[in-house]
Amino acid sequence: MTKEEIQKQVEQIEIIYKSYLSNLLELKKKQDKILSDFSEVLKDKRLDQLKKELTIS
Amino acid sequence: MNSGEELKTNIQNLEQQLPENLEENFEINDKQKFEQYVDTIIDNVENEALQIKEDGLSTLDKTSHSYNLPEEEVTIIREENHVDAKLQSNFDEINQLNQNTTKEIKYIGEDLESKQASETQKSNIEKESNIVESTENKEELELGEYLEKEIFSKFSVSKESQERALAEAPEDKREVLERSFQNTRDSLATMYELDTVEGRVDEQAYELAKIKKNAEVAFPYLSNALQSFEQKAIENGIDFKITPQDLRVSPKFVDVGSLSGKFDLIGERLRNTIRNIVGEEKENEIFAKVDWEGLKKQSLENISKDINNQSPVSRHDFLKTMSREELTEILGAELERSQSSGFLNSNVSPDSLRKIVASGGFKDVLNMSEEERKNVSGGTRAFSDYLRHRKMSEESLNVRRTGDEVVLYGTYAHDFNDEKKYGGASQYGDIFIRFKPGTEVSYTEGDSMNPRDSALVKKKIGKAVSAKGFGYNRTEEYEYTENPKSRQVSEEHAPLAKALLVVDLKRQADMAGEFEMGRHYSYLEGQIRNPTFENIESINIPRSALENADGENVAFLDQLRNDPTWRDKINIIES
Repeated sequence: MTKEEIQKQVEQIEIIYKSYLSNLLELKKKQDKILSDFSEVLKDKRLDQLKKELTIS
Repeated sequence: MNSGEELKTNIQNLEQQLPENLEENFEINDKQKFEQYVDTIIDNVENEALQIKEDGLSTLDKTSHSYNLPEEEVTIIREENHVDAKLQSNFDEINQLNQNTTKEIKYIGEDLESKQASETQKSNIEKESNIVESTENKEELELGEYLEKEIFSKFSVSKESQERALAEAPEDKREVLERSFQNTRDSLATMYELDTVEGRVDEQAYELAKIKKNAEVAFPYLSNALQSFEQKAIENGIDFKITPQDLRVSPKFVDVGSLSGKFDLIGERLRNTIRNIVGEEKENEIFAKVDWEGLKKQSLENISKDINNQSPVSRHDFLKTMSREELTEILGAELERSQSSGFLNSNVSPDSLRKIVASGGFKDVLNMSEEERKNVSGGTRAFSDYLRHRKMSEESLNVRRTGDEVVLYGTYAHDFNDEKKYGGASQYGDIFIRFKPGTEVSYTEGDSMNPRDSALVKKKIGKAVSAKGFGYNRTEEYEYTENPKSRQVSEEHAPLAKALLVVDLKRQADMAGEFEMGRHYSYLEGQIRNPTFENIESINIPRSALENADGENVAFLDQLRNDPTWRDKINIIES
């Protein structure tokens, strides 16, 4: 491989890597959404319990 | 979690991990170092993916323990909401991304022939389309006119019916009754808008199409850009044919989130290809004429517009409507069921029932002494917030008129799901107390203080907030006064309000299919004013509640069944 060829390939890898990080970030956002939805469900459950305790005693 | 700031930090962290000043850090003419560089990047790719997965598992564990709920309940919630399955699916996507990227990097590192890559990827994107055609709506009458002429009168909530009812109603009930007529008309109008004009998203079809579209959405833009490039090249006297495959671009390698980089990559490959055809000398000249950068800019603008509007598959393409007649028929049938089988009830736990019976009447947390309140729920901030919100809500609904009243929360249940067996809100207790007709009650569509799940209720609230003008922020005052009032219905409209909620929830569940995030539920909440034991028609105890009773409750339930005051009111519900 010539110097120029290697340089081009490094640049291409850099682009792929940047693209990978960008996609990974999107998946991380999706993961955060799954977990925050779950957290909301737990919170609602806890509020239900609290309400149950408070409404009728 | 998931905040904008955290995401920004993530981006910054990720960006920081990119190798800087490649030319300086890397000796270009050293092939061995190039191979080491490729290995390092591949290691980085794997480590990044691993880190995200580990973070996910750690957050899952932390979240599971964040509300002090019993382990068994958290396990059930995780199962019911498919949390682990969804997380696994997310991990699978990360693994897939990891594999594809590693393959791409190796592919460049090994300088493979383009054909090999495109062939290995082809099979992954050839899946059948599930796109559902959106339904056209061409109605003869404007919806508002149709509702006024046919629907409001059919469901006895027309303005004429309202005037008659108000004329006959006692003075102290008129305000709520008038509001109830208006709110019920609003709900009917909202449901007809939702189901006959706007449509609901077929979530199932939408999710399936997104999976497919992710691989497909950007590829045509790239192909078009190449075609335009080719056309411009021909116009400039350069005659050559080029396909995405010639440039080592397969549909699978095109991801929506990384298009700018992809165009750069393709641009570089295009330059290399042209250089091979016409030589390096003419390369720059040709590129200046055919304007790859311009094509890239234009394509990205189009894609960006497309993605912003449709993100990446348009939910609008999956909207399903039904005809007015069909909705009227479904609603009519549910109303009939609701009218014939509906009843006011309140779910209680065995513990609560024991305390109610022991104290000789219903109690209200707002009327308790500080000492009694502490026994209910230790004096937390959430507790004092709850008390304040509850007072605001009850006063706005006119169910708490003086300080010492008792407001008991219940629901309007009917022959829907297992409500006849377990009451309208069995999450609040296995036993349900059924109240006699004539018990003073007011209702709200959904929970008065925490409405959720019902698309109909959410849409109503959304409309009310929008009506306040752009930029309006929902205040505590709004949440606990105007909001519950906009959903209040009187006893007369309870069967219809319940029918509307049930039709709404059924539609939601039908649309979500296997992608449903937990069971949708909502209830027509009843705020029962000053209930006494005289108001109790029956106490309904599922056999399972008797069998599962423990401690003091075993003797209590047994005693209750034999107590002359209560025994005629006790129903044991067989499973």
